[in-house]
Amino acid sequence: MKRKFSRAIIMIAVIALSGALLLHTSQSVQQVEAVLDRLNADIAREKQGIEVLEAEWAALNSPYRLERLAVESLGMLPPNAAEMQTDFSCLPEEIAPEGLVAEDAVIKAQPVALVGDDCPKPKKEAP
Amino acid sequence: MIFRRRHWQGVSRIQGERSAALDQARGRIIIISVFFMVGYGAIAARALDLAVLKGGPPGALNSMHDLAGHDMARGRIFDRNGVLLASSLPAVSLYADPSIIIGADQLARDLVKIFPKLRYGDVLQKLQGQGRFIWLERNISPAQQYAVLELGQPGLGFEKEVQRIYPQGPLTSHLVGYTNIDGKGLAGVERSFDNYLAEGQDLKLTLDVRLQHALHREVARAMHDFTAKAGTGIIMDSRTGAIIAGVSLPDFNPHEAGSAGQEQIFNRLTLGVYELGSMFKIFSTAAALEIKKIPLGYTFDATKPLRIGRFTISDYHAENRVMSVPEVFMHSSNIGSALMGRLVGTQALKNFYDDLGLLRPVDFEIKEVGRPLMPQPWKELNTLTAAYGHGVATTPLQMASAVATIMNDGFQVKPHLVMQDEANEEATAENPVGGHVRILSEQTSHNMRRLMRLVVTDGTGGNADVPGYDIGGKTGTAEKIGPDGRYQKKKLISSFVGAFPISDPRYIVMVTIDEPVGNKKSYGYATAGWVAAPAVGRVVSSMAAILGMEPDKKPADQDPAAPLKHYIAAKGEEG
Repeated sequence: MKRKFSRAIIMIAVIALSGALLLHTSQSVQQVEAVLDRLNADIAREKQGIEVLEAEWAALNSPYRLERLAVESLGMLPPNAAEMQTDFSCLPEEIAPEGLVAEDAVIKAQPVALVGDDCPKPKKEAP
Repeated sequence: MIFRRRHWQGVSRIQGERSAALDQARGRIIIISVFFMVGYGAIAARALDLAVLKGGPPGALNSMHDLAGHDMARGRIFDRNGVLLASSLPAVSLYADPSIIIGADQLARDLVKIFPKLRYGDVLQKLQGQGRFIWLERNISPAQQYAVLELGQPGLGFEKEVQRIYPQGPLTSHLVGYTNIDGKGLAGVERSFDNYLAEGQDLKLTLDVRLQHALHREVARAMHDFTAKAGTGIIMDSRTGAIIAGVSLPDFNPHEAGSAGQEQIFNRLTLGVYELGSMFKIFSTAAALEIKKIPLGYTFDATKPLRIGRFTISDYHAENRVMSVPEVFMHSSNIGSALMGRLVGTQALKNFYDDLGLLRPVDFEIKEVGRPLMPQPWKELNTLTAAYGHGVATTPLQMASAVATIMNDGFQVKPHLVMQDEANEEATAENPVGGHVRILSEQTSHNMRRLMRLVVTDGTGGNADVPGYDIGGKTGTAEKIGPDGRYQKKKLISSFVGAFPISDPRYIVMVTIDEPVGNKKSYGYATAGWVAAPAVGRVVSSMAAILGMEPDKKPADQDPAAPLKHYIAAKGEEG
């Protein structure tokens, strides 16, 4: 009788323990799942954010806009094959860093001259 | 405890069978109680779990919706360098539940202030209507959403939606196409690849937005300079048939396609069917060289206009003399070309045009494709006029593809817009889709290249020349057919098709300008040599700079057209 009783107690203890373990495991899994969901949602949000930024980047870098800005703000013109430099001797001389005496010395801007008469020159006005 | 002992002591008096039965019953009671205890414990634990532990922040569920919504987003469209052409981004739309609107007239006034496009009367009508759901405005901006929230109106609500965005604006509107507000493709690639894109698959096109922009700029400039009605332009890889740029002007903003006019929506490049005039001389000359094997020195009598019945064929740039093949081609002689057509014969010329894909709708990846027009029935006179481009109307896309075939050593070139991966795209040049189909011999292809170069060095296309890039090409000026079915002398379609570098053509560039008006710079002329040829020259010049193609300047005697010079009579030598 006593043996039966103690066996029942042990069984109850085992059942309770396994129940507790199961609860603990399921809780841990759910917590991790919640973290995973949040991460996935964050990833989705970030991806969506990236797509928005990519669209914005594409719109800001559209050739039409860049060309308009280059013309309006920098006074540049659309590229032209006649201006293409293919001869290395046509490239302007390297600017000599005269003012590099002190580290914070400002280098004086020098006029950049193209060498040679048959070198392509940039166009001054719109064709 | 004492009670129990006493109790047991009392019970213990019971002996034998009855005692065993009692023990068994007691055991069962214990087991049943344990069973219930465990059961209730489990239920309590589960209830605690559901009510307290799982009831996390409500945001978690919403973000799962976001995730699902994101996965369903329509696929994106890129150009050949991965520049974004179309993308679906989250947006918010505003709806109303008229049954719980408070103060409809004031609300309508407030809404019109936030959304200037809405009209007070329309909004008021919607707000006072029956039903529980009505759209007020789709795809509103975050600032507008904030302003609506400020109104504190219980009858207004927001629905999360997806909006199709085209970062390049109108630049690729005809080829990429557009969708309706529910994300269904209505034109261009958006329409023909609707199911594929709806599955969330991305698509890469053969377009290059940099060249697309250069082409767009130059076609627009030519239209502006010559106050033209419309224009098209195309840059094609002459080996693979890949469309690198394609423009149809006037164009439209794909975000507001619904409010664009029919003139803007119409894709002139692939759907528009035009008589493109003398550019057809490329094909009739190739047919004469290929089918009749005539030598380049073969001459045609263009001393006087050609009369067939009541019909007279005369030359625009009349030379009034006997001309060799290169002369007929460079001076764009209608008489000479008509005689070439007669030499080739009706059936052979028709078959040749058909082999070049000029008489059937082109097989292309977008559905807006025009059906060419040809004379019905086709008589001998039609053969003569078709030889210089009268009576046969095609789309500019077909014209460019046919020229690409002539330039590509005589192998058929089929246009395509959807990019395979880059390695395949390169390999396509070696092993084209559908295999190598030869339409004409390599020899004829080479002769045609030289003839087209001659048009630029000595003929009608001089304004297309860019030193160092060896452009070859052909002008085409056609009179448009009026409502009465007659050709109109003042309404022209001026086109130029160029190929470069002509010794081994890589690109076909074609510009077509609809109804140009001559200006001071062109001495009043609105012909192809003045209108379209310089535009093609400028496109090639931009392309060279953008793609970093080095010029290959060589002396005149090494020009690809130089061997043809001795077929050309010096001025005044012949009558």
